[in-house]
Amino acid sequence: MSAPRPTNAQLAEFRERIRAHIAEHAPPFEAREGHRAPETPEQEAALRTWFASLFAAGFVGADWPVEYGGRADHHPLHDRIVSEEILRARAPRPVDQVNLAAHVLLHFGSEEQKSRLLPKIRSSEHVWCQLLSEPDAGSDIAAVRCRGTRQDDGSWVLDGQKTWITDGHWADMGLALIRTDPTSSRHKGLSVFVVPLDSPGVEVRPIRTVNDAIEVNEVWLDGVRIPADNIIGEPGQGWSIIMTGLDFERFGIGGNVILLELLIDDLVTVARHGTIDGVPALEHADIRQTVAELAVEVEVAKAFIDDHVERMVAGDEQVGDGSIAKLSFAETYHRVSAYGAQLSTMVCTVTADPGVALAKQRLKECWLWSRAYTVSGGSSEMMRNILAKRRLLLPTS
Amino acid sequence: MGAEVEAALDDSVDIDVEIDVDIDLVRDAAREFLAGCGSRDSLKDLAAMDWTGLLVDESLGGSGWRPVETTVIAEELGRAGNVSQWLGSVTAAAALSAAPGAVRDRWLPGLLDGTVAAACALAADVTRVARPDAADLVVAFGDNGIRLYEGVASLPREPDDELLDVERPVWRVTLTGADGVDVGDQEQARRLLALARVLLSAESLGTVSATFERLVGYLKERIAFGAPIASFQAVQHRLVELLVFEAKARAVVMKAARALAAGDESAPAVATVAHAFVATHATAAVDECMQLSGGIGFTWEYPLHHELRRVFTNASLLGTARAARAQYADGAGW
Repeated sequence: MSAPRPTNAQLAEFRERIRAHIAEHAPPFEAREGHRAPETPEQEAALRTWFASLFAAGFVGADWPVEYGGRADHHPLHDRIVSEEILRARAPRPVDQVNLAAHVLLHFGSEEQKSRLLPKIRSSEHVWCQLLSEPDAGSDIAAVRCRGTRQDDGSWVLDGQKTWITDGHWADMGLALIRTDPTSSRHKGLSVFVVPLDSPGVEVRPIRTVNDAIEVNEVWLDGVRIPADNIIGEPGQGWSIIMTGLDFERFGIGGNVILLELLIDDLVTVARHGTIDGVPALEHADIRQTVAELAVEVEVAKAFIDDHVERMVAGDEQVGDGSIAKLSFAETYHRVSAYGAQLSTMVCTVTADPGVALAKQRLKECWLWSRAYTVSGGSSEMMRNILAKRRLLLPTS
Repeated sequence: MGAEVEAALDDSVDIDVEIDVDIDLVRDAAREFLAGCGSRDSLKDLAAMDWTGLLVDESLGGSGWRPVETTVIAEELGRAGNVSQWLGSVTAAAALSAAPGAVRDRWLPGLLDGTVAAACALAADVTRVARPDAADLVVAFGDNGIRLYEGVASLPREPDDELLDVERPVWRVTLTGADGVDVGDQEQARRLLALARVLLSAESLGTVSATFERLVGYLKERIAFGAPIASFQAVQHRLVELLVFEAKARAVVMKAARALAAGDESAPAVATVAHAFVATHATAAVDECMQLSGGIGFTWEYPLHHELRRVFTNASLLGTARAARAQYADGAGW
């Protein structure tokens, strides 16, 4: 964060470099929304190699301290450009949970933990998941009930159930929020642990999602013994560690705008090449109006999110801006993709080229996946609660 | 997205987006000044603030080309419910500053000191004009350029019954057969109409913002079932949706203003987006405020219906949302 803002020419040059890196190193398959996790051992190997290449070239993990592999000239706008270009190229995006785990380790981990765990993140030998949500603690994360009991030898035994664990089925390590003081409630008495997922007593059960894909899992902890040096920070410090960690995810939203632009691209492709009554759908006034209206919504969401990122960079964030950005992205994504799925059923694409079929396929998958955006990471309703309370300062009932 | 729009809007992170601190000062000063004006809506007062010359070269007595500041002023005028001919005058002054010497010298000084009032309109045989009775001039933006019409009072006109504003009523004015003079070329017309639409959108945004602020204050105070109405979640989420609209509208309106200020090639496309977005949603936003205000919002004495009338009217004054969307689609190369 200390580096000065790069010039436009420097940013353009950086953009060219990440584009070249993607062209050379991205795996030979397209990223699919709702199918982000690898589906074969070959894909998994390719993903790990790809992620490692991004770390090695300084495109990911560039914001880390230099002694752990970061770049001294890193600027937050670089992260956004990397994110934009990876998404635009439809290359697989780095796993958010790895980023969160890395930052938690960097800020709260002991020297021993950092030297033991961080290199394996950069080499992508370790993929991380976060073990936060539980069946009764979704958006209300402070309701965590998984128990951690300290043993006489200082080690810990963890019991309970976690759910909605993104990438849990192929992750190597988990960052777990556990209640270590059984007499505590809500935000107190929570601690954060490093949980190797191959520990005895860890059972991962995939949850098949609406796209007929495995992205998320239930994780059962049954008497899982964790060595004393796998607790991060102090017992009871868990809540503030996780909240600080979630703060690091904020810049991701900026790059996500590209996903909205890709949706519009696909929508236009389908409307231009698909026909209704023998005429391209886009030449029907009602369809043309709706597609344009959605494109306008995307432009406006982008305008707000761009401003938001600029204000963050300038340290001039307004309370609740992040929630408005998240709502704008998620709701627009849902709206555009829902119309895309609907439009796909209305048009005839018999004679169109295979690119059109691909666009239809993506719109359908994006729509089915869109609830991942409006529900996870703080649901739209949670965002509205936050904005009501913090931005509009409305009274509580 | 089409090639033109993509080229124009792509890689926006590379464009220097200056969120100027001075803008906040302009906004605060304008708000304070307008609050002090009370219900007195004098164009001369605004001209005395140099607000009609915000788009006129300094060598001609204006402040230079300042679309960002102008857009902030427009929002504040909307917030204050101002009914003066400022929008027409500031755009007419901009058009005249590049016009042939004779016509420029005849009208520009009066526009700058507020003794001459202008309206702006779309070029057409019969066109919508706000308060033609209070305008000396009409500047009409068309595909072929900008035309200036004098002697507006003598042009045939009839009230526009579709548009609802009663404080700044709109008339249908017949331009066919009227003597007009060309004061700007196609490119000028394109640029200034884009700006006029951004200013009109900013004005609507300011109006919505005023309605919304009053509503939130009212619902925090008003008790029902033993609790402030604003404490009910069903109401809170609806208020937040209005907040989100306001924040997004301001972001896109200011983005368009910055693009116009920079002479960026994306400016017309961004202006179209701002116009389409605000014209699509502003009326529904004030309408929603009326519902959430309960019975009081439904009365003639409460200001809300004037705000509803204003944004409803603005949404058609310089083109509709429908036309803006079509224009966007054309520009995108679809």
